Amino acid sequence: MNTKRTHILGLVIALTATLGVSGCASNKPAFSSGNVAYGDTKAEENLTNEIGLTDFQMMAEKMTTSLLTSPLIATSKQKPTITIAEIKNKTSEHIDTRSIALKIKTQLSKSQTVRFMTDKADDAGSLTELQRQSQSGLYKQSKAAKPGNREAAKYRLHGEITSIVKRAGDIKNIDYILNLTLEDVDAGEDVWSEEKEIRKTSERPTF
Amino acid sequence: MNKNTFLKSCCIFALTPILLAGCVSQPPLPPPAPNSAAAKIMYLGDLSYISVNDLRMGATNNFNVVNADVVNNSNDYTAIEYRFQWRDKGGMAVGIDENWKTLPLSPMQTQRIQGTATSKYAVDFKLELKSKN
Repeated sequence: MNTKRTHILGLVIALTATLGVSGCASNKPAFSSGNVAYGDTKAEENLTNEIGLTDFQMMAEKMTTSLLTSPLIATSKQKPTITIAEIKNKTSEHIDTRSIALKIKTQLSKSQTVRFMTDKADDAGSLTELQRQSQSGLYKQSKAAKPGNREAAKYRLHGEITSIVKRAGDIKNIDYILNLTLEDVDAGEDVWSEEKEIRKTSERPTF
Repeated sequence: MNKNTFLKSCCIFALTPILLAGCVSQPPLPPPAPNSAAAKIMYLGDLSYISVNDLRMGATNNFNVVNADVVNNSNDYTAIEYRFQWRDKGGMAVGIDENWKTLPLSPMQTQRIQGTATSKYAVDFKLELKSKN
């Protein structure tokens, strides 16, 4: 009787242990170290007072909505053609101003109200592809791109970003000013201009 | 009446109103009527001290523009975040995915905010307001 009880107890312990161990053993590979997380890129990011993605987004949004509601777009019978020129960085920080320009370009392209022509920064790559198609002899000439068929952009988008930095004790204040202008290349006339100001203030912690 | 009975009576007397108050809860407010101004606003978090008084939509160059007056009804300085979401006539999201914008508000201040659709297909919108706390 006592032996039978011991057998049953042993079986219960063995079964529980098996279930417990199988519960712990997972076939899933470890994809996370536990200290990395995805964040909302549309949320305000203010880790430091240097320029960041939130500032780029605010600048691009202001420029895009301003241009879309400008008389230039309203009075154009055809979609205006634009080429992006340089946005000069006149701040003391390293800022990828091309990234701001591309954000504006993407948002305007999505609105389907303007057309973007190849800009200076993409000229080399675009020219290489044109030469490859027209001169390599690999492609049907009837369907290959040929030199001299391109449409020149009527407008040139250019501008500059400046900053004013002020310090008082532990407080640091930076004002960023992005100014963009759309120039009618033929007439040499500025047909649209807009600016976006961003103020960032930070305080150095005491400890 | 002994001491124990007296204490029990006191406890029951004190707890009964509390229990009854728990049962008599306020009925939930009915949802705002579709297409009403209230239905266009989404409050995320506790924003009982914030109200939107004037909400109007018009078109500029075939792009819809929304103006809203956001009011801080409290006596404290506060800041909230907001953004607009644009929808086409089928209710699908169109245009750019806007980032959250901070709106600082002084006590009892009314501040006008503006949102512009970046797609001509945008005919409807939602204004999202979020507490910064």
